Amino acid sequence: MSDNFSGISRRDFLKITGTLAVGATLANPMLNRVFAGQSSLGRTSSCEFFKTLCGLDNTAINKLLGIALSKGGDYADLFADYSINNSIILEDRIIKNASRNISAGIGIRVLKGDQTGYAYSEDMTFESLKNAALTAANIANETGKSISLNVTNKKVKNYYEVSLPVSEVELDAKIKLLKESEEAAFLKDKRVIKVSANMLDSERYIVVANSENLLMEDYQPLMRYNVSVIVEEDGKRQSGRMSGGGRLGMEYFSKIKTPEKFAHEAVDQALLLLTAKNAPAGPMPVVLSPGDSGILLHEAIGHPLEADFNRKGTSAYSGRIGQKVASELCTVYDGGTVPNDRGSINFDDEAVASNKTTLIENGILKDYMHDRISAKYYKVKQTGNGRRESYKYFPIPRMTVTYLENGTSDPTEIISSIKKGVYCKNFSGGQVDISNGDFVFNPTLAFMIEDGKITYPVKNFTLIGNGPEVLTKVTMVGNDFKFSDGMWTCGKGQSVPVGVGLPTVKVSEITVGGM
Amino acid sequence: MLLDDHKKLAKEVVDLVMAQGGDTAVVRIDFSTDKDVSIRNQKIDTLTQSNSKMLTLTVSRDKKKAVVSTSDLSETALKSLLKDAMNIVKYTGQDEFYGLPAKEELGMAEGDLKIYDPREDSIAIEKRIDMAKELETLSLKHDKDLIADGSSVSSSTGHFVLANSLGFCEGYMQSEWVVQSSCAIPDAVEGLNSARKQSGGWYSVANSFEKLEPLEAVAAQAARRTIMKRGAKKPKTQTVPVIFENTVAVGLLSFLAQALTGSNIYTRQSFLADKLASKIAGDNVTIVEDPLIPGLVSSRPFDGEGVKSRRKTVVENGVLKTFLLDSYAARKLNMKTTGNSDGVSNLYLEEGKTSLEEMIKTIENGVLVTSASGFGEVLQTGDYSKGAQGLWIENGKISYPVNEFTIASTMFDILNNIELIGNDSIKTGPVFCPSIKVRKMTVSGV
Repeated sequence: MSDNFSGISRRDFLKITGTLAVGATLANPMLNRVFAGQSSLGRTSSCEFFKTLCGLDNTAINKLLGIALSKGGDYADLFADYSINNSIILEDRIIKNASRNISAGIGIRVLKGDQTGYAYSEDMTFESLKNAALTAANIANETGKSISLNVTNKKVKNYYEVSLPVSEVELDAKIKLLKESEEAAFLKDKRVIKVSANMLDSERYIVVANSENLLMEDYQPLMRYNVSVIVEEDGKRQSGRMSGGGRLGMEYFSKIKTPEKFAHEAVDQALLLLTAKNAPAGPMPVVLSPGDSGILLHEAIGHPLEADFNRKGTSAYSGRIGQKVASELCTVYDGGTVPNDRGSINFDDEAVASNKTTLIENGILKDYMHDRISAKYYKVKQTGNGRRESYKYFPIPRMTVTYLENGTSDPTEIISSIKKGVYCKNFSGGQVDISNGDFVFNPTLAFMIEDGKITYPVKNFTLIGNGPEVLTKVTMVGNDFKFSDGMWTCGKGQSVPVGVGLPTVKVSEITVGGM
Repeated sequence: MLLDDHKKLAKEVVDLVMAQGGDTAVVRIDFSTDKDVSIRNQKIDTLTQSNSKMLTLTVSRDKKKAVVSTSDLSETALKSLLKDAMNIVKYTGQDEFYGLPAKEELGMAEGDLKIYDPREDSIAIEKRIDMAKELETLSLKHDKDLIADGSSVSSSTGHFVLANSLGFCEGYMQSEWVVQSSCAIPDAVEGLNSARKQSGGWYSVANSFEKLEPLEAVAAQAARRTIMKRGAKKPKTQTVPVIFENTVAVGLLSFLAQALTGSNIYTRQSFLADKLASKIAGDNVTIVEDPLIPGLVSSRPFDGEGVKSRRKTVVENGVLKTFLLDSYAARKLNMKTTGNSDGVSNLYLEEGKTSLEEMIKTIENGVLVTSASGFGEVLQTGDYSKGAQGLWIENGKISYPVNEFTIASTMFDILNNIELIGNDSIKTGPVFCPSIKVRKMTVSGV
């Protein structure tokens, strides 16, 4: 069996998810009933939602948390999660498929010191949930403890107000968008032989309650739109792909990017790749374009600064708080507070309100990203990074939106400062070994820079660097900061949506893995 | 028994769809019970236990398709699910290629595949905790500097049920045990990476508890794979012979499987789309898929559409014999399904005779790659590039560990330049492969 599967370090990666999971708005009788009593904000609260669904009210929650602590646990939490995922796919000029998935369950976690007991149930009867609570309780082994709780709802700021969630529009409205993209792609160039487009959207009702009598509820909308094209010329084929989205509604297409623009960008990318040559091999300067290149931060320092690895002493950054780990030009943040970003969350899955955490300030390592267990270990405040994929998992430290502060250099000056190097524009993903700090990321579109000018496109290759070294080689930071258009999913045993952001950046040397 | 209950439920849902005017219906139910114990520094780190289930319904009417799924199998939820499906088919497009497999292709392969061991519950949680503790102790004793990064014992048992409107309704049970040990070791280097560590791990997977590798063996590999990386440096940029260790060679075969998958063929996204019956690899390359090998974790009696499993040769002496198709892709390509809905099951490169040790002896200056990372496989062109770690070879011997480099080539060049094929496949995934030696690839480092 491979290290890729067994070592947790190499499971950490960032990727544009290729799988389709999501797209329709349909009549679910239960939802209609809930929405019939819409509040002024237009949506029923998640607490009301679960009460209607399975009678889970504060009284039931208090009881369940009490049962969870009945064997002497120090702390318990309950995570109720109802997620509706839609997808719609256009391929070969027809709406080939539409799907709708409902995943719902309630997870109960008990902590005893830094030990975790966890169980969940997809049957939402009180009896099944009680069994889950008793199973999780087994992490502790005392008997007959009686705990009385009284959870109270705490409100937090909403970073993703959405007027019309994609999940609530009729299918024909989505079909119209997909067809616009298709038509625009075929019209753009006659070398286009295939176009496919799809829309994934989800809405999620979440309630988190814990034995510190705290209860929080959230409604999380999420959408992503993808267009991919294949072009053919003289028997050579290439593909181009564009993705974008966020915690946004249908306004995305009027405010941020039109279906037509998705198509044009995908076609442009594919056509450029038709003429692309092999990338060179060896160390050289690399310029990263604004936005998606934030994948560098995610891999190079993001994962290794997740506090679980540091608490366990397996990260390349363990014990390095207060030390210089990057050039003075680098100030790096992580926070779920970026409005409507794919990686944003109002509070984390342990009921800690989101905030902006400074990870690196002018090159000095300031903080790790914490969940409850690691914050306790380091005796610091939780940073709002305790996240989970779904009710099937207990929370672990995860990134939200990770970004580099804007700089002062003119992007054209950055490019003209390079004699021979590579300019990277789009990426397919990245991966890191958190122990030695080696990370890779894969550009899907890049260009050679020769004598200060962008000359020709180069084909897919791998960039490899070392986290603790690479940020010290950031020698110029542009003044053109941009968040990535939301498309990234991070894998660390569990998948969660994340965001990244970066201005144009010059790394004085990184190994380019061409041929 | 729950399997029978779920078979009955699947059939009922199919009948309900047909009664409501569906032309075809397929219901699958995936169910599993998972238990996981993880230890770190001789203390329980996590203890988890749960059941999970998912019912997926695919409906078509007038060749228009909808797929709906739910983790809630209550009557109310299923009725609502069905309503959703019947609504979706009003919107999706007519697809003349959509349909079920031919009735004669459906079926459950005969014979006991030995993929289920009913004794899962007989191993108490306390025993699992003790095993994980022992695994950690055995791992750490190999070097005083080793750091525990978790040892675990997990089991998963469950079933897969499939019913369709052609009257197919079958299911099978599966079980899987995993023991795993992960370690790290300090490996500081002067300068910027002053807190560097190296990490490694190993595990054993089997259908039954008894078939797991001995804990000593798993522990020894986990420790060795961590310690061997200590002192790694970055190699020079050069073109050299490369050995893909079996763990890494699996990735090449997975990429090949992706490139042969029906949807990537009919959309012409794959670099192999036009290569059926052509020579794509050297004479020494024969690749087989055999879902019917008894006792392997990925064996299966039928695929995700109910198509009866059978053994087939995918590449024979370098010639591509078949794509990997489900019934939809088969109709698009005017071919027959190969039983690959839900991917491959035991796809492997036929072993050669060379051991890894002998392979190393044949190299004067080259590298043994022991792990690869990143997303550098390009479906359209077959370009292959990966970040890598491994062991540098000089004069037929392992010389020193290397990291922070890339290897790059194309799949055509790799498949046509496999000089030696090993005899060390680890038969525990849907894809497995022995170590292989490739004549030359670009290594990019310093």
